[in-house]
Amino acid sequence: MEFYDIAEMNVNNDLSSRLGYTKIFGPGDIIEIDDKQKRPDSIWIFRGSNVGEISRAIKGRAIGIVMDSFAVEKSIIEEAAGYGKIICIDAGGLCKGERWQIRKKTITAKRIFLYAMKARAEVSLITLAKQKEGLLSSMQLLALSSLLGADSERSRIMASALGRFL
Amino acid sequence: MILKRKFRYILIESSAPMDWKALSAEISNKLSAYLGERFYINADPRVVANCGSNAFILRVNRGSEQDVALGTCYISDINSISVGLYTIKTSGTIRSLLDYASRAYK
Repeated sequence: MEFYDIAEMNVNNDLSSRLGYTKIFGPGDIIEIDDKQKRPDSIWIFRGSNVGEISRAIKGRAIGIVMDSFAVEKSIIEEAAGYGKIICIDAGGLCKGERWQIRKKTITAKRIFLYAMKARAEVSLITLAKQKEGLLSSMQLLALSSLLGADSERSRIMASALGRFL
Repeated sequence: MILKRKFRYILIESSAPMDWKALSAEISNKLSAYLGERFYINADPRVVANCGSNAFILRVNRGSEQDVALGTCYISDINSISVGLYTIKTSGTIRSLLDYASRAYK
C-alpha cells in the first residue's frame, strides 16, 4: 500500500521515503490545500472553518475538506460522504499545544472519525507540517489512526486515501 | 520456567542533532509523561545505540511499538531544543537496524 501525506513545506524525496511515504506533497505540487482553487489544473482540498463555504466546496470540485474549526458538524460529514469526498484530519495539529489542547483536539477528532465511519465517508490523516519538526512518519500516522479508533486495516486505508485521486 | 524477554528495536530519527547522553533520560521522562506509567512500564523503552547525531535506536518490549510510536509524536522539544522525532523502522534485531542506518545516514 502506498502512503501519502501533505505538508505546507517542501520535503525532499529521501526524507519522505525514510518516513515511509511514496510522496509528501508540498506547495506547488499537484495537490493544493486552500479556501479556493487557485490553479485550475490542481487537485484541490478545501481548507476552512465556515460551514457554508465547506458545503459549497463539497458540492464543487474539491476532492476533500480540512475542517479548521474542529467542530463536529454531522451534516457536513454526511454531505461529504454523499458526494464521495475525503474528510482530512490535521494529524500535526493533534500533537501540538498544551496537554489539555491535545486531549480536546484528539477527542473531537475521534468523534469526527466515528461520525465519518457511520456515514461511510472516507477519512484521511495528513500532517500539514509547516516545519520539519511537525512531520510524522507513516508509522506514527498509523498509531494516531488507531488512537482515533481505526483498526489496522482502516488505518492503512486512511494513510493511502489520497492515492485514489492521483 | 525460564522467561525470555522479547524485544523490538525502533530506529528513530530526529530533525535536529542531539547529545546522545542527555537524550536517554529525556526520552524516558517525555515518554513516561505522555504514555502514562502503565504503558511506560509495559514498554520499558531504552536508548541502546546511536546512529550518528540525528538517529538512535530505542529498545522496547514486544507489542508496545505502536504505543511508543504514538508517544514520540508528542515530543516537541528535548533539552529545550525544538525537535521532531520520526519512527523510521522497527525490527526484531538491532543489527538489521544498524545496517539500515549505516546505509541511510552515510
